[in-house]
Amino acid sequence: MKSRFLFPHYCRLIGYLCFVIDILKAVALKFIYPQGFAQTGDVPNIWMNITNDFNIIIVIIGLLLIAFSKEKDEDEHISQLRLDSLQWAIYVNYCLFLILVVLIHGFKFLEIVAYNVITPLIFFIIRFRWKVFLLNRSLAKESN
Amino acid sequence: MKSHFLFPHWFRYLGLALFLIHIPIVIFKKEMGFSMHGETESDSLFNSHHIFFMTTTLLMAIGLFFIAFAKERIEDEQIFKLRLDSLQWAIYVNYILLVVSLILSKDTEHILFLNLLVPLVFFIVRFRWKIFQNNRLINKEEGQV
Repeated sequence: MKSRFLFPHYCRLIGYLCFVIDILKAVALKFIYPQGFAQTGDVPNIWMNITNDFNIIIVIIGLLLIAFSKEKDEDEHISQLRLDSLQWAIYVNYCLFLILVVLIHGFKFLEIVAYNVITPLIFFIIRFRWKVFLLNRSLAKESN
Repeated sequence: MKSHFLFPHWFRYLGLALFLIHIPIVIFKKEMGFSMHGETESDSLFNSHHIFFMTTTLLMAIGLFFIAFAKERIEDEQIFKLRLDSLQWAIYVNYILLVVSLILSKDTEHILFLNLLVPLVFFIVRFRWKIFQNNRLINKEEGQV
């Protein structure tokens, strides 16, 4: 069985790079506009819109690349772990969403649900990495 | 290789039922007196608008969820593979749509709602379609033999 539709292995580095760039950009902005965008006046700042979009897009692309790049050796076991983790990620995402729907309403709802956009990817990355780590450790133990 | 963490097969029909129940409720929203316009939104957690929103969203999301993750009658390697592929595609499509719609529009509320629906709907459609193709292929092969 082959895992299809995955990015090459080096894409993981590109993904992490996206994150680093995003953090650097945030730090730089903090230096240029020490008070943040909100205090710069009544006129809506066009830079704010652009950087917001840019932020979200960079983060999403980075997370996607990290999550869906090939492992160094792809085998049955890895693809089993990948499916399990993906399923769990979707489960967790929708459970969180349902809880949010019940507990929060009004304008706050949108702000909070916006964070829900990246939960599946983050949960997937953490669980998948953790399982791969466990697998490697047990393999190392066996070969001893 | 086994598929873990799936619901029993009959959850599919339960999910379909939940989803079908939610459609007429949304369509006849106005007739049932849940129209939001002109009403002032109160701050309490259980005003009528929020309860309506809550029930419809819960019905829809849980329904789709059950349809998507119910076991097939026969779970084998092939089905497992189709499921993994479809899930991956669903996530890809979801995020591509999200990025494109973020660039093109400012309507955050609908973007977020889309983001809720797209992965499950796309997953269900692609998975069913692949299984259908798979079954047709198997039938054809049996016909030749």
